[in-house]
Amino acid sequence: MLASERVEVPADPREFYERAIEERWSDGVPQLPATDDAVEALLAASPYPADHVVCVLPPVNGVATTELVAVNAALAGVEPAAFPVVLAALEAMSEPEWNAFGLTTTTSSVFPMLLVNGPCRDELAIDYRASCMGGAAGRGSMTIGRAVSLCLRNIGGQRAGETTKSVFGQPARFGFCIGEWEERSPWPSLAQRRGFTADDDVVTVHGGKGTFPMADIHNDDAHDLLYLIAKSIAYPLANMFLGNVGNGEVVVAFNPMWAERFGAAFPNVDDLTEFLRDNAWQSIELWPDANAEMLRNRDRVDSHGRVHLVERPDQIVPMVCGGLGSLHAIGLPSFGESTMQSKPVVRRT
Amino acid sequence: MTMDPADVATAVDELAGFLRADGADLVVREANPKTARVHLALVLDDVNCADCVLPPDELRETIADALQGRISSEFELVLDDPRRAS
Amino acid sequence: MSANTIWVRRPTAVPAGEVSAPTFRLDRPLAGLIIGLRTDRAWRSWQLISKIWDDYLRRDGAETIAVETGAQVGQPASSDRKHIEEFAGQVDAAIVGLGTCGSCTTFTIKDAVTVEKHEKPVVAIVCEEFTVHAHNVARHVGHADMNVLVLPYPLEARPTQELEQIALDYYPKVLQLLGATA
Repeated sequence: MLASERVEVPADPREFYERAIEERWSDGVPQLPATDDAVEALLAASPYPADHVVCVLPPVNGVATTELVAVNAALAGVEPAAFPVVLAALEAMSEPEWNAFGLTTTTSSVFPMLLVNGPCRDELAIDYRASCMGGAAGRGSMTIGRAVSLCLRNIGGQRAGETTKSVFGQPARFGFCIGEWEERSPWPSLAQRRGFTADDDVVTVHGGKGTFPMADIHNDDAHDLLYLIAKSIAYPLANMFLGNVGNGEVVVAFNPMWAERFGAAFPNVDDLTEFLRDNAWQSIELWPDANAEMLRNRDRVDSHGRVHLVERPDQIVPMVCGGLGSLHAIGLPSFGESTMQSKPVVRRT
Repeated sequence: MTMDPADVATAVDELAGFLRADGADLVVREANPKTARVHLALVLDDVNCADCVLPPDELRETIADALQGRISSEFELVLDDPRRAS
Repeated sequence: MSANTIWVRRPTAVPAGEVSAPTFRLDRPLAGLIIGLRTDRAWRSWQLISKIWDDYLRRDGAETIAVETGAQVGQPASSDRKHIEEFAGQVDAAIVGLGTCGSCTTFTIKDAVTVEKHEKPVVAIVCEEFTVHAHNVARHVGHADMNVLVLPYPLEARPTQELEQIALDYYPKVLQLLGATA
């Protein structure tokens, strides 16, 4: 027996779309009606009962029961097998160190970016190959990310200009859910490095500000490319220069061809991240006086006059994904005051 | 849609037919949909006329075209050609 | 249900209750009281204004305690929140700032709530652009009636002389909101 309020709506898809906009359920894109059948099918795939509280979502501290999450997942078109991934993502976001309270209200463009590992990637059409960050159109990628976004909108009450002060938003606010191309990674997967096994389905939620593109067509040397990547992610207006050097992570997505090259030069991923950390800095001379003063006041300048983006190598998080065209890497810069969280995907047994 | 190893095998077999006329051969080392890698090897052990076999770059291009005709998704072609210095 | 309609489930959560926690006033002069000032490492403007107010408060007979926060997660954040809890226990009233961005406004209100939960008068200092956001956050955490003093926006890049004038102009207002009498 479902508990959420029943609403009579037009059956016609276009009229339903307009009604969803009027009701403010909508993210601007057509939705599927959350009928009882659709919601119940999702609940049947969940390990939790309908009235289980998955989390409380800021900014309005809306209570996200499994049922209410299922209603939003139905709107997004999530298939039942993918519903546990949505639940795991929300659980991850509700960990205090992810700082949902800050991330859902900030002027920054930050939004949860879901990074998925495990066999479910193929089963659920979560994109991790060419155009995985937009354009590959895998059902899992497009609907899981969107379901999380709709939960933030409809349960968390995140409304642009009203309860969230994000100046620009970002495209990921529609939903961002990609996988790692584990089979093309020369290192243990992101999930394995975070303590899970290769057989576990895991979702890691990163508070990312957007996709930061990097490209090179001239240099095949691994060390040279990684040096340039390190300098690129340490761009002067990075959020991570604004706060504590020990907080936040930057995800760096390597295409498989570069990953192979980097893996040959750095078979141990810890050595790679140490190299990146060591080179992800800018000279204090780069910043104008007003900014330099604040960096000095926050003890961000070392004895060589360098301002490091991060304190520890593990704050730079490599993952392998994308197509075989090489030439590119993508940074997912961090909000800073947030620590990525990973949760296993729990299915009904 | 990931590649089907059977499609790779068919394409390679067709290409190998031409190469066998000169005593060469083309074999599949691996066609892995999980890594999107097609690893082939040119065999020249019994070749009658090495110069009759297409030069390495042209051969690679011919193989790539043949595979692309059968595989709609991206793939990486790795070709072991003994004529190239290792 | 007509042939042209279907039934669906509403996707929005029930709004949180509108019960608001009480606010508090000093209703006495400042002399002899301990007034707390919570600053933030991020904002030079607020560091300057709060320093001026600190001087005024001591001139007016109060003793002052300052606490500086600077993190939202990690060990630094745990320390910050612990310090705010201790701070709230030690003071007779507090001035908490600065809300001049989305997340820092959220945390300004959060820390002000900690003081109010200790049944102490508190004023949250927020810049104009973030006023609605501050009141929303306060309401959603059950402290809809929290005192909020609104400063001009933008503030951070203003020259020192302007910030000093703002400190002077707004000091009486913060005392008024705290309920300090002459």
